[in-house]
Amino acid sequence: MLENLKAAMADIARSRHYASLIHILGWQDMRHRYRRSFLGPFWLVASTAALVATICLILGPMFGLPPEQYVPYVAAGMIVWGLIVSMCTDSCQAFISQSTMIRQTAAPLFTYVARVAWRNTLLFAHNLVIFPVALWISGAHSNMNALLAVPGFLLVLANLAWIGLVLAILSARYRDLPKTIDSVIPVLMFMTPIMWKPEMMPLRIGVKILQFNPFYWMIDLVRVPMMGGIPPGKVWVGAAVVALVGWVVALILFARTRERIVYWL
Amino acid sequence: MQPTDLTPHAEPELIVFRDVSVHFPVFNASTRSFRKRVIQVATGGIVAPDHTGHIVVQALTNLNFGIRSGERVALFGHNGAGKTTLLGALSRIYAPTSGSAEISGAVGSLINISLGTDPESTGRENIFLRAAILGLGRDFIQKNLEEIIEFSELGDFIDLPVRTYSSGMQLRLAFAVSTMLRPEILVMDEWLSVGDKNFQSKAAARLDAMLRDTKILVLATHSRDLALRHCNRALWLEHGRIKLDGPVKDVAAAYFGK
Repeated sequence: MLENLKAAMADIARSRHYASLIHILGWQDMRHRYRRSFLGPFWLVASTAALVATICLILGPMFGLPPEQYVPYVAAGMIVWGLIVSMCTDSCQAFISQSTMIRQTAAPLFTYVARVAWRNTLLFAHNLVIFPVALWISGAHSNMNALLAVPGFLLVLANLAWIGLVLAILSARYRDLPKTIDSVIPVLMFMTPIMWKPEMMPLRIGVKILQFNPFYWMIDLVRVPMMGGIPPGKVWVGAAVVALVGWVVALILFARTRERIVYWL
Repeated sequence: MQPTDLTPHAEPELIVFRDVSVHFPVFNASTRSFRKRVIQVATGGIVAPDHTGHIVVQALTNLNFGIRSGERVALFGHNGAGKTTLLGALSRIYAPTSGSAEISGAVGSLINISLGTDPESTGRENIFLRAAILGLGRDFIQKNLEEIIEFSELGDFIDLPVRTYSSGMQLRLAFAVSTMLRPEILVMDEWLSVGDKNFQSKAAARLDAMLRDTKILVLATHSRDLALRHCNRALWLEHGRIKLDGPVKDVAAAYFGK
């Protein structure tokens, strides 16, 4: 087991050697998806923007929230949520869709998870354009705390990376998992405060339960600083602990399955 | 070094296979289903592998052999005999399902030199892509870029998308990049032969240069001539087992007939 664990960590360490492959393929994925379209990756930006605008126009007045509060909140929330969703769904296909390549090259398996993470980071960067526009339209302001969104994002990415590795492995073996994730995601979107705020919850117990929704604090780690606030210390610590525990779990799973994954494809 | 030390058997064994088997599970719908697996666990029933509906394809069974530095090994065998799977196991792609495979040294595999080629990217971009797949450093390619482009004889096409290339041009480009590899152990599925007569002699010279720096070659081939020309040993695989292992002349005589 210890040897497998070492081999699993060596796989991840060796994927650094394939950084240029990760980089090229990440860009290539993005270019292919929007190949020869005029807007290119900004199609994604346009669709996120349309969604944010619609939510703000319909739900904003319904909730009776002032636009300078609600619009940046929804915009930041949707941008981070978009990253979480696409990381989870794409990771399920990380190994499955690359079966030809995996069966013919000895590149470390983590390379394929890193490629998904890199592609989604690029798309996330595109989507970020929406936020200053949302600030400007709603007349809201942010401040230097927004810089905290960078470490916040890195902590979120550290979490999404282990989730991605776990999903990639389990999806290769259990082909029902990608479908399960696809159907769970919209449910999670309503369970996570993106369109609504936690303080709107009528029952105290609801807020308590919400603390156990990892996507809630993942979003808040980036959303709160973007809007000029500072996420509470317990959110940082909680996220770091979950990242640590998650990585241990992911590494153990990877160690146990790494050699078998190619046989499952 | 004394000339007498150059006999293959004085060299260390870089590859040692002991009882190596590679068995592929064939999942039917019921074992791939997450739902059923959960139910299995939840009901606490331990189901023996035979009863879960696992069918196993035995691609390689109990292989025992060692390959020393300096050996050039031809793999013979009919389609489905396990040649490609063995190349995969030698390339550390398939870990043995049982037994142990010790491989010391960097392995370069030229199993499919066009793998990963992106038709939408330019030739130049594909050079970097192909090199990245092979694990070659970006700086190394940058330094040899002009040489690769010149060798591939693509001229101005190098900045056009690869989908505009003829298949010969695509192959020349893939060949030019792939042969930059300098592994200790080289694994090939069929001898690479590309282009017209003129290009072929150039290509042969480049392959020879690559082989000179390579300690071990393993070449799966259907060609007796190629095996005799490039190899000094041969393994004959049949139904995933070694049928014959020995000097290439003897094995070729047995496999191809006199």
